[in-house]
Amino acid sequence: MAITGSNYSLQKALNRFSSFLSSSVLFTFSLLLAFVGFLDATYLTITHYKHIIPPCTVSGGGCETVLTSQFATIFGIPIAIFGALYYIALLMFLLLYQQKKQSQLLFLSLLLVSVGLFVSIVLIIIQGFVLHAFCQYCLVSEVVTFILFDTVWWLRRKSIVHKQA
Amino acid sequence: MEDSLTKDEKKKLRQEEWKEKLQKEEQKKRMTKMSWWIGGFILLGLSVWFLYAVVNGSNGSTGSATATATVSVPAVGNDDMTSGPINAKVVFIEYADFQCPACLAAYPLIKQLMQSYNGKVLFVYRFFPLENIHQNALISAQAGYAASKQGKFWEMHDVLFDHQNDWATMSNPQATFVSYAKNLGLNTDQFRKNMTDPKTALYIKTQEQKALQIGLNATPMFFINGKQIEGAGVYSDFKKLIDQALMGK
Repeated sequence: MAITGSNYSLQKALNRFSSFLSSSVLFTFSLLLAFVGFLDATYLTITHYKHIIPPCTVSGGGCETVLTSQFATIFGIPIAIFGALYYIALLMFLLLYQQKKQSQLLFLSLLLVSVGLFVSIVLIIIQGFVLHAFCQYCLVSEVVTFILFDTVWWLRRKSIVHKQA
Repeated sequence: MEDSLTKDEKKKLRQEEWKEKLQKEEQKKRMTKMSWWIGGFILLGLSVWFLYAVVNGSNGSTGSATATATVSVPAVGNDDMTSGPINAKVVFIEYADFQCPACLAAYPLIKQLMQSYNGKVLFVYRFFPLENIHQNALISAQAGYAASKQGKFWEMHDVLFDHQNDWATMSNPQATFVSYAKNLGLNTDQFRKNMTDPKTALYIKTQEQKALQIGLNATPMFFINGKQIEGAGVYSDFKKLIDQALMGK
C-alpha cells in the first residue's frame, strides 16, 4: 500500500512538473541547447583543422591531452565534426516537428539524442579512466546532451499525453 | 453590380473569394515556414563564420603577436641546452615539456626557425616538465639531458617529439629512451647512467622551480631577448619578431 501511495505522489509531482514546463518552453530550451552544442562542436572542429592546441598548464585540466589523443579522431576525421552534424540533424528534426507536428519526428529526435547520450557516456569514461584528463569543451557537449535527452524525452511524453487526452 | 447577379452566382463568388483567402493564408504559412529555415541556416552560417574569426584572432595569424618584458628570464648559462653562436644578437628561449602536445605542435615551427636563422640566433631549450599532468614529463626531460652529456641533446629533442605519441602513455619508457639513444649512436650504458643520475633530476627540477618562480604556468613559452612572446601561432609571427630583434628594434 505504501509503495502505491508513494508512486501516486511521484506521479502527481511528475504531472505538476510537466504542466509547469509548457511544451513551447521545453521546445525553445531544446533548440537553444542544440545550438550551444553545435557551436561547441564547431569550435573544436575549427581548432582541429587549424592545428591549435591549448597550452599545457601547470594546474592541469588536460584539454590538450584529450584533443590530441587517439580517441579524438576516427580515421583522421575529428569526432567533433560528427558532433556538429549530430546537433545540426537534431535542430532540423526539432524544427520539422514544430512545423509538421508529427510525433514520429520527436521519436527520431529522441533516438538521435539517445545515440548522443551513449557516445557522451563512452567519451566521459574514456576521459576519466583511460586518459585521466578532461577537456572542458568536450564536457560542455556531454552535459548539453545529457540535458537534451531529458528535454526531448519530456517533449515526447507531453506530445503523447496530449494526443491521448 | 452585385444586384444583377443571381443567388447562385453570388454564392459562387463568395466561395471563390473564400478559396482565395485560404490560398493566401496557406501561402503565408509556407512563407513563415521557409523564413524559419532560411533564418536558421543563416544563423548557423554566421555562427560558424564568427567562431572562425574568433579562432583566427586568438591565434595571432592576423599579425598581432607581441614580445613584452613581463617577467625576468634567467640569463643563458653554460649548463643550458643551446644551439647557435653564444654571442648571437638574438637569444630565443623556449620553456617546454617533451610530453606536452602543445609543445609538439610548436616543434615544427621551432625546427624551421632553427634552420632559417642558423648561425644568427642562439636557441635555448629549458626544461619545464609538467609532472602533475604528464606522467613521463620528468623522465623524458632526463633522457634529453642525458643525451646532452654526449653532445646530442637536439637530436634527442627531435626524436622525443617525433615519437611523443609512442612513449607518452607508457608506464615505464626508460627502455624506449635507451633504444632512441642507441639509434642516435650514443653510448647506451653512459646514457642510462646519466638518465637515472639524481644530479640530472636535480638539474631539471631546479630549472622547473626557476620557471615557476618567474611566474610561468604553461608550456610552451617563448622568449626573444628576454621578452615574452604572446599570441604567436604561426611561423610568420615568430619570424617577424626575430627579424625585428635582429634589426635591433
